[in-house]
Order: sequence, then C-alpha cells, then structure tokens
Amino acid sequence: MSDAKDLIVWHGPNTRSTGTVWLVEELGVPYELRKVDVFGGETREAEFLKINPAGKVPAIRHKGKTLTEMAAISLYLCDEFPDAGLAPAIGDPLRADYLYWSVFRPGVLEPAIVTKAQNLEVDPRTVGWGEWETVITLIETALEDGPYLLGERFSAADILIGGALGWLKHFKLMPDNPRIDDYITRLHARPAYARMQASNQ
Amino acid sequence: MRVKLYHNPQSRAVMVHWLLEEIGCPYELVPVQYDDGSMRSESFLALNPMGKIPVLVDGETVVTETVAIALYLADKFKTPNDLAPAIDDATRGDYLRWIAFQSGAVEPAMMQAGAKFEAKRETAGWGSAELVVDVLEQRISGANPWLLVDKFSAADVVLGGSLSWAVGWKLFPARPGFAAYLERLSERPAYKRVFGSE
Repeated sequence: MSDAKDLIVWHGPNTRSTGTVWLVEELGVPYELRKVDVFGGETREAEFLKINPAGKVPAIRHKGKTLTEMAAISLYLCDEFPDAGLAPAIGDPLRADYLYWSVFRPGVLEPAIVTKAQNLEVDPRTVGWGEWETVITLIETALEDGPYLLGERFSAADILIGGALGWLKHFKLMPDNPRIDDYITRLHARPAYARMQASNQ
Repeated sequence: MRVKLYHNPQSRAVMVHWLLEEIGCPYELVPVQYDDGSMRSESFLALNPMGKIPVLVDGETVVTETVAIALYLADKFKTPNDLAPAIDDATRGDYLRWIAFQSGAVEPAMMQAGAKFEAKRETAGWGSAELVVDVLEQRISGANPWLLVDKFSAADVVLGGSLSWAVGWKLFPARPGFAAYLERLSERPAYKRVFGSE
C-alpha cells in the first residue's frame, strides 16, 4: 500500500489540473495536494520550473519521479493503480479505444478548442487535429452506444474528455447538444467530481 | 496475423511505419492517397471518422491517433524488439510523458510555427511554440543516447520523428541541443529502411 507521501499533485485551482485532481479522487488513493497560484504567476517561478520546465500544471510526483502532461499522468496512474478499474488492461479489447480517447484530449480536442475560441484559420488537411464540427460529432457518435465513451464502462478517458466538455460548457463555448449535455451531467454527478470541486476553493 | 497500416509517405503515418520497422513485427502498408478523396470515402471514414491517417488495423481492433497507435503497438508487440518499458518499470512515467508531449505540445506548436498564429499562452495547453522548443531542447540534449538512456523506446520514434520532421521543414529552429540526437536517430537501420526509400 502507498501512503500520501508517495503521490503529490500540483494543482492550480480552476485550471486543467482539476482533471488530475478528479482522477486521483476517482482512483481513491491517498495523495498530497499542493496548490499553485497559476494566475499569480507561480508556475513561472524558478521553484516550480524545477518541477515542470514547461511551467504548466498538472504535474505529479510518484515514487520520487515527476510526471507532467495530463494524458501521460492519466495513463500512468491508472496503470499504476489497476484496482480502481479506470483503465482497460493491456490485451483488453477496449484498450485501443481507451488509448485513443485519452490522447484525443491533448492531441485533438485542446488545439481544436483554441483555434475555435480564437477564430484562428488553419488548414484542416495540415493540422493533426481536424475541424471543430468533426471533433464534436465524433464524441457525440461515441456516446451513442452507452453512457460513457467505452460504452457501459466508465474510464479515465471520460475524465479527460468529459472534463474538457464541462469546461467548454461552463464558458459557453459549446452550443446545446442533448447527448453531450447529458454526458456532462452524468459525470458531474459523480462523488469524486464533487470532492474535486472542493479543491478549487 | 499482420497488422495493417493505412499509410502515405507524406503523412504522420511515416512515424508509425518507422515504429513497426523498429519493433520488427509483421505488418503491411495500405497506401492511401490525398488527392483522390479516398480519405473522405465512406469505407475510410468507417475506420477513422476524422478522415485522417495513420490508421492501424489489428484484427478487429482499429486504432487511430499516432500516439495511441504507438502506445498500443509497443505494449502489444514485444518481439523481436521491445520498445516500451513495462507498466511497473521505473521509467514508464517518463516514457508516457514524452510520448504524450508529441501530440499535446509538439504538434500544435509546429502548426503554430507554420501558420504563425497567435494563441494566448495561458489558454493554449501547450503554452507557446518557443516554450515547447525550449523544453524540447532541454530534454533532448540530455538524451544519452536515448530518452530512456540505454533503452531505445517508442518515445524516441514519436518525439524524435516529429522533431526531425519539424526541424527538416524549418518549423522549429535547428537548435544545437537537437543535432547529435537527430543524427543518432537517422543512423538507425530501421530509420534508414523507412526514410531512405521515401
């Protein structure tokens, strides 16, 4: 068993690291939360740059090793704590879809959000992430077969994708979409989500 | 059974092609053209609704997104060459970190550098193109000889392959810290087999 000292999560309230706090709450493992004042510039200070030279949260330390990039953190922790059941194991038929949706968040959804929010013109054939409408349709289609991206099974990929969708909804960047709205509501009803919300105070 | 890679030599599929050569598992390339609309065909969109390559098909399993494909292949095919640290290996976290950095930071930074668009540093998940290049240089210059030191891994293929492409197309500056690493990558036999012919 691990104790809290084994896992540290650096968290900036109301930033992308809320997804990582949500994840560790879902994992149900002890951890130490270290709040960072992102909007006050703390992530650009020398002390934090030693943790992540990119000056970004989330960052974690586990077993003495530091890890950044939200998808990497998610893939890593779910495999480290398999008993939580948040990741289909290697060899499970759902593993490919799980990996796909996990990297979809930073690789496709994030840049698509930025280009959409700022009305940037990019050539959809050149960029790795494609068009906004395609991205949303794809998520909607994936939710056809069940309450979660992997169908009946809730996974850490829902935290990554659902977390971003909830954020988009909150900032009114996404129009009403019954299926996606239901999905967000379902995710936000999870007890671990509520525990995470408390960490934003 | 052979895995199938939907491929075009002018696409990101070349990184997966290189990875397959490094692993040495049986595979076949399915050529896909850009100019004949085949990526928008119904049969292709059934594989990847994004209409993009690479797409990997392993029996009944379809995987898209370069990083997802790389993670999938390197965990599943361990012979003849094992390109992924096991889940309980001490380097697993670092391995995931730098593979994920490719899609989450390097890709958007390359596009930002190419299209010269301004994205707010605080909003964009990757920060800025300059920041990504700085962080990469710091990490790559410490790769001795590979990101996971003695173990050549799929992270070298994905991150190194992207970097090589970005520097080659002058999207990223050819920083001094990149040169020796990119040279080492280009000397690998699997790299030469893939890029020598393309």
